[in-house]
Amino acid sequence: MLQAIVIGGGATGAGILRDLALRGIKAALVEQGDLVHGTSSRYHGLLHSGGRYAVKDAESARECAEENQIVRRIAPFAVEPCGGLFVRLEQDDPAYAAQWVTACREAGIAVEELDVDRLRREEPLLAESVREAYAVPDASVDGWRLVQGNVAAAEAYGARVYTYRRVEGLLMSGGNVAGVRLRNLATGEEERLEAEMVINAAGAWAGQIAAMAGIQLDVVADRGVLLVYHGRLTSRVVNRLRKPGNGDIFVPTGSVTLLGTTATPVPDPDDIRVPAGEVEELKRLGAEMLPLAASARVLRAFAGVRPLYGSRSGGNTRELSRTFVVVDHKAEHGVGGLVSIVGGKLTTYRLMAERVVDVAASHLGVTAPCRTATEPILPPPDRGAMARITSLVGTERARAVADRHPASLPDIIRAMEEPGGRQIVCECEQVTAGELVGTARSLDNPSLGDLRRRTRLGMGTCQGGFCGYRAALALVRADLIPASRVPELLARFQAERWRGVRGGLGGLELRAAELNYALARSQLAMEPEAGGVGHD
Amino acid sequence: MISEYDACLKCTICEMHCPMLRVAPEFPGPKNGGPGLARLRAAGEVAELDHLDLCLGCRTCDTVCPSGIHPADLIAVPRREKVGRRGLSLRDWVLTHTYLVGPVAVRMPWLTNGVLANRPVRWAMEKVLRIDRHKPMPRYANHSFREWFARHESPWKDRPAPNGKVAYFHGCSVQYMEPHIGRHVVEVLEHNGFEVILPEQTCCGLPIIANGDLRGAAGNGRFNLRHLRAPAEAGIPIVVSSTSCSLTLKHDYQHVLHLDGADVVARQVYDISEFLLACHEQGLLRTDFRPTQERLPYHQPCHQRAQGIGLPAVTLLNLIPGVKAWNLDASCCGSSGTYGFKEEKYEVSMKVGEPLREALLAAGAPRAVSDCETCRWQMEYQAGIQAVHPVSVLWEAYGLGGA
Repeated sequence: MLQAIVIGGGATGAGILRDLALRGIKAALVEQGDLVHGTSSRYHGLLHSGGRYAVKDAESARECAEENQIVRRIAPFAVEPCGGLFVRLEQDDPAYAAQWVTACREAGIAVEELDVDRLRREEPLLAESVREAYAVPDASVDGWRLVQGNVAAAEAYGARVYTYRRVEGLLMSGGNVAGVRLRNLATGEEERLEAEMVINAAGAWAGQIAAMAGIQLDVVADRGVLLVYHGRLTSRVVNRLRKPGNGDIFVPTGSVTLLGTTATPVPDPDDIRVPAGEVEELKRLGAEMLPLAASARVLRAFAGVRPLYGSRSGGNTRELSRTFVVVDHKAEHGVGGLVSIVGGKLTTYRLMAERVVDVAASHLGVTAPCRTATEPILPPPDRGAMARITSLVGTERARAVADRHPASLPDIIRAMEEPGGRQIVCECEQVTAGELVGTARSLDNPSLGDLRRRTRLGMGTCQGGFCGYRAALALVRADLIPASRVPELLARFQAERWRGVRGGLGGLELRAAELNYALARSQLAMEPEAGGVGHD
Repeated sequence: MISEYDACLKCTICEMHCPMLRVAPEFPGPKNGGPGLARLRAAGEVAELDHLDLCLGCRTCDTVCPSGIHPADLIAVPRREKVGRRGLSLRDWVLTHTYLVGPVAVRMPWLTNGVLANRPVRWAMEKVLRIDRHKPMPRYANHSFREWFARHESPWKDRPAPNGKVAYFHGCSVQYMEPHIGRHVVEVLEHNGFEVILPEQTCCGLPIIANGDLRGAAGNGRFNLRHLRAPAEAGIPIVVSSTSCSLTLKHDYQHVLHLDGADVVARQVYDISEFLLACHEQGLLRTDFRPTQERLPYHQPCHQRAQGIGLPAVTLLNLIPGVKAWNLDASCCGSSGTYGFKEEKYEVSMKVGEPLREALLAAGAPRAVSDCETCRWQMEYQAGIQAVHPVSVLWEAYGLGGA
């Protein structure tokens, strides 16, 4: 019998699962889609230094500053320690900047003033109007890898993970929550899981879960649109040094740069539409910091929803705190067996997990302390494995592949060593057939989207136009999917990619998308839906 | 740089036309190795792809790209960075600096050519320098072109040429190996009422660029621009009989080496066939050709195609009564300058040239035409036929050789 069920396979849920497992609690995680697909991969990938919240939200700032250091230490495979900048432009208020520096120092954030002329040589695309610049310990973090690492660590301690299961209801026993009723989205069957505790970490969907127990939980789904630029525009994160607003953060990550974000409260957490006006606004605001942002190629636009905790009244979600709240529904609403965690952000996922597991553990009578801050999530990659993969694909690519697959490297290497395993399937992101096949072997009937999140397949220049069908072919050849599934897999994959382009991008990216569309129609007799299903 | 790789739509047209990808699937190809790698390089994820050095530098990809990208230049970046750090290898230096040997070699061609054709010597060159022993070295002439020009008497010596002056950039192969082609260029131009002047010049630098030494090549480029600038500014056309030289003067000085004044000169540079065809279109070209019966298969050098000037030589040759010239349209000869002489490249270079060899044999003509010297040498070596410059055919047809 399970002691705890975690609802939600984002960073928070995965962090909770690992924390539970490390404390010796028998736990399982349920997720309505693939791991990470909801919010933890639909954001800018910034590991906050805390600087962004220093003035307005000191508590969040302090949490970020501390957790930033911890995440770097425990998850080096997921963090690119590129560093960050806060730049004040000519038109921005110098008084705010001064206030910001003081607030950062008080929150324990290491800020260092930089010489603007020197900085311009290092970051040549920065606007001429930069007047002040500060270095902060921002970094970029890959939500997928972080979650994958946490889940793998938890599984090593006996935890279970059930993806593509939608929670349809809570099992109740004498007014208390005693488990979940699930719909297996792959088979359509209903499943039941019983446990002493259910931990609601469903993020933007947390209000819907609480409602199943008749509880009102105020979670605002706050939709943010982001742009993915085709190349690496800066070497460091660039934040605008003024009151947080739209379009004020660039995050370089891997081969792309993300610009975020907007903030629009939406009634439905599944609403991840990208209004064309928000794309234009982001480009215009981004160009104030990096003029090239107005004209550089944007690969796609996408949206995610922030789960903000607070009242639904009042329009400006920027005013809601970015900190998190643990709600013990037994104490608050008299419903036992259910704890919710709402608000927060990816940077503080571990702390959020620690706090909610503290509450759950006390209900379960478990006294083992939290160890997640001190223990690395995964051991560093095995030296022998690194040597093998380096000999296969060279030093730089070996590093990238090892980081992409922190927990399953040996399987990947085995597949890469098979005949044809080193053949490049996705050129833009240099994904080999072996990496794809090795990843797919660990999944049950994977979609191309599942593989995309794990390998970066289709996330580069061609947005899946050329690599999608190559990948499907590689999977069929390796006997991982039946050939009959290929049309449906491709259609879903491409529909999601097109959705990111046709939502309001023009120029080069639209030309590329139309080329892909034409290829699919003329070569594969596909009529993909430009609207797309989303969330793949 | 960002704006250039940004433009790639991954349309794959470059790959469909790449002569190397057809024979060497391990070659990353222009799409992947060019804009694709440029993008990843910025992320520090992939510094270099394997087998990138297989690129012929033929610029077919630049020519066909509908998005205006120059994949060939992007592909060359890692090699250029490496050579920039470590300098040229001895072999690559030797292959790219034949113009320094030229002045001595033409004094004693019997010795130079004898040594370069000597089998034990070639075996040793392969072992030591990794210059393939199979491919014949170009043969040095017994005089330089400029020596001939100094002795030569212009018909426009005492009176102004009716069509004005033309500056001639002859390049290394005409100067030291094929001075007769230079003579043909000069006499054909003079026959058509032009006075030919010879600016001071050195090797255009293309072989050095192709082997990655941009700094070395810039020296050559600056020297040439210094001497070509005055005629260019005076509005004098600069004609070039080697298509690699003309591409370098038109494109590389500006877009690869970024040299001052390169644009001024580039505007005046014409491939010789391009120039003569333009003359014809303006009614300036004499057509007093002697009729002859000849079928002339023609191979267009990649470096001429990259200039985007059509097929001027084929049109010109067909002006000769009785001549049937046609473009073989058989991809790249595979030699690509110094490329085909390298031991590790010899085999793949021959494979690239295979369609041309077959087309030449199928044409069944005793001789063929091409504007580029290394293409001609490769055609002669692979197909065992004679290969001539189009201007030489015109020269014959004008009866300038006498008889």
